[in-house]
Amino acid sequence: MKHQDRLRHLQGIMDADGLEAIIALSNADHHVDWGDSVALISGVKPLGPSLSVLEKDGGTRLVVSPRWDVERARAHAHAAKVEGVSDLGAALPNLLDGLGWAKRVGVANLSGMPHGFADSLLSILPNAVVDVTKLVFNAAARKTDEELANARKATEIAERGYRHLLEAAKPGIPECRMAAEIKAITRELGADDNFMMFHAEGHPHAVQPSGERQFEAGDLILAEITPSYGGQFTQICRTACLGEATDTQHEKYELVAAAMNNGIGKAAAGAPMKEICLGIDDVLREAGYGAYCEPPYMNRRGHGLGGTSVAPGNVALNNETILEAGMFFVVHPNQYIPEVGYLLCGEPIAITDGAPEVLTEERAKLGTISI
Amino acid sequence: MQTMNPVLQVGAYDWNPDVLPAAEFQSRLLRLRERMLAGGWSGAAVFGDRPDHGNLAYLTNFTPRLSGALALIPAEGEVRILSFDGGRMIPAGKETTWVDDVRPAKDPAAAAHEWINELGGGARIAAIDFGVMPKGIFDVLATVPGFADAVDITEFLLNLRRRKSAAEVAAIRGAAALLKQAEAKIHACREEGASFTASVLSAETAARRAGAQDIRSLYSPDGGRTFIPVERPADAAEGPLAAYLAVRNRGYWVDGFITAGAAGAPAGEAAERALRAMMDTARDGASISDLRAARNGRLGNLRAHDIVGDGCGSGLGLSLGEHPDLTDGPDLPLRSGDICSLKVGVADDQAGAAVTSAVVRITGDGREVLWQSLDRESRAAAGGGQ
Repeated sequence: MKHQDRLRHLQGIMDADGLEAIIALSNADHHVDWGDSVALISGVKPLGPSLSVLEKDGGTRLVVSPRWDVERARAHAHAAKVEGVSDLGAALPNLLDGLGWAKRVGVANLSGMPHGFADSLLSILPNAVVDVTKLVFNAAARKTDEELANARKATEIAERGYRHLLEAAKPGIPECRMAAEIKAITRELGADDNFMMFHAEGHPHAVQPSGERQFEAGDLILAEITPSYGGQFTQICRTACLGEATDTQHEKYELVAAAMNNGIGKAAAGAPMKEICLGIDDVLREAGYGAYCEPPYMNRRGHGLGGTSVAPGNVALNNETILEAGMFFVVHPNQYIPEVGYLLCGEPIAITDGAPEVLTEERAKLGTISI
Repeated sequence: MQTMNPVLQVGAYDWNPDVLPAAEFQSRLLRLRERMLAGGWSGAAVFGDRPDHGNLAYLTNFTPRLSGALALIPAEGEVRILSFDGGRMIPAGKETTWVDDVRPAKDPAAAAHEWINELGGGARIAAIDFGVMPKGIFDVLATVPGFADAVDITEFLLNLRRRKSAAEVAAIRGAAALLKQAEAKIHACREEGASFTASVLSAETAARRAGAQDIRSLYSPDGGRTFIPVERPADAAEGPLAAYLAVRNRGYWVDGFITAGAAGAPAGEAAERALRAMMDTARDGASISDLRAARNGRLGNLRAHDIVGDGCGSGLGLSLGEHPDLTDGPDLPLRSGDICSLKVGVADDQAGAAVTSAVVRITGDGREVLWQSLDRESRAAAGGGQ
């Protein structure tokens, strides 16, 4: 799928819903669990508050701030008209002057914008305004060819980052310093960002942002390595033991990895997303951990990956989304096991017309770091 | 200076009382509470989001990781933080603050109601940084009596933040030292023939390894005419590298423009002269228009660079752009204790493009230079450049 196919798909939805235009908004407050509707429509990851407009006839427009970012935007945008402004809010009346005629306009991500800006926008659009946030993001549940290519490159970077962790981690290093190190290394490898949820404890209960605690021998290091390449995030979830792992740690990790692989085996075009979650839970229940297949012992069994859209959403029992070729997300059991603690284990996969494509070269196994 | 916001801040954000003692926060709270008393407010609600949570951090040191946070500060009693990061993030969030009561904002309206009730019937409150609050959160809080008509006192806190304490100055000096290391790395990389992007990314790595909480960057692929973030490595390596780096240490930012290699003359020389004139002018009592006049006297008719515009830079501290406002704010005088990033940019068809900057602390008898480009210093030491 090409970017223009996505826009045509959106135009079809607009036509069916009687929308004359979609205004996509971004506060450039990038988040791994949200999409960016401006990037989705324009192809440009915003530096500052920005908007893009898709009109029913296919006309596209991108407005970025700060003004000096306009040349970068022009170089990357899939938009007919690109403008730069110093203050998006102040420029709104002029920017949207041409939409005054529209009787029905869709707006994406209004609730994520500063409330003063959002209210100004609503005052300028006197006619029916429809919240199309879900509609826009769901329309991008299937990744473009370029996004999938970027996801593969991002995954390669993630695996190299993990290998660097196995070489560099040692007792006495603060976990936040190691997280920064992996972020820096993946940046040098080509990542434009990296959501490094990274945490270590002897018996961890969950993964969380890094603190200043220093690694100790026997720690389980939990790493959600989540680089973005060309604006497309991927994620690998790994666990490594600082020092020799116990037999029990190995055994339980293999169980969680087997659960993940069973879940991945259920990932097929035409199947509902929840089947993957059930596939994971089945293995864990059979091993006697059924009581742990719900919060707080796990959170979700995976999720979609932005930057443009995190559709098709979470790998969860309540997600009835039917999988389609081209969808991309991470499958991660990420499970608390009482004997050993919280274990991270996850692979990014792309749905195809056949077996799912697992983007990693090497699937998760419990890492061990010699000390 | 606007840079690309990261999805997660990964550096050392735990609160360290040896760096910023609890007494410092109590002193700041005392000033806020004096203002609350004068205004007749029973409490103050302070919002902070991930891209900029300077006011929130000033009072609590709290660092939002995934979403925003709201500090609820009663005129008397304990401070409470509602974190929109979610329950699983609360333990990590607690490590970033001296505040004991950090709660997930599962139901923000109910939590706000509870707090207003604790303040007493008909409580009036002050608001700080509600202007940047996302509509999705604001609309929920606006249903709570007291929040919808809260009086905005953001400006009061921004002014309070201007005069830096000794601990803050120490943190900023630390950030300046990290910026120098990053800058030195850029020069070393360029001397070795590394590409523009490889040089900037190596500087990021050097700063992170040296302990920077965060480092942001922009570079110019075209000799200083335009600046862009490093979105992926590129091979370009010809000519001088113009870059912008912002480094954060213990919450405090320092930033600067760097040119590795000879900047385009005469733009580079004019920008250097203008910056020096601004630095000479920057002292207690000097106004923004004084800085602008000093700069314009050296730049003449050369066109200002878009990235700086007609501004003279910005105040620095917990935010990259804070008071004193050196851009288009009121023409107020600089004050002893201000820390400013002075910036000059030229992008002229004939003269070429160059941006240069320095970080100064306004003192009682002039200014102290906390950072300025190594390149400029080295050229000055060699008897050239300035």
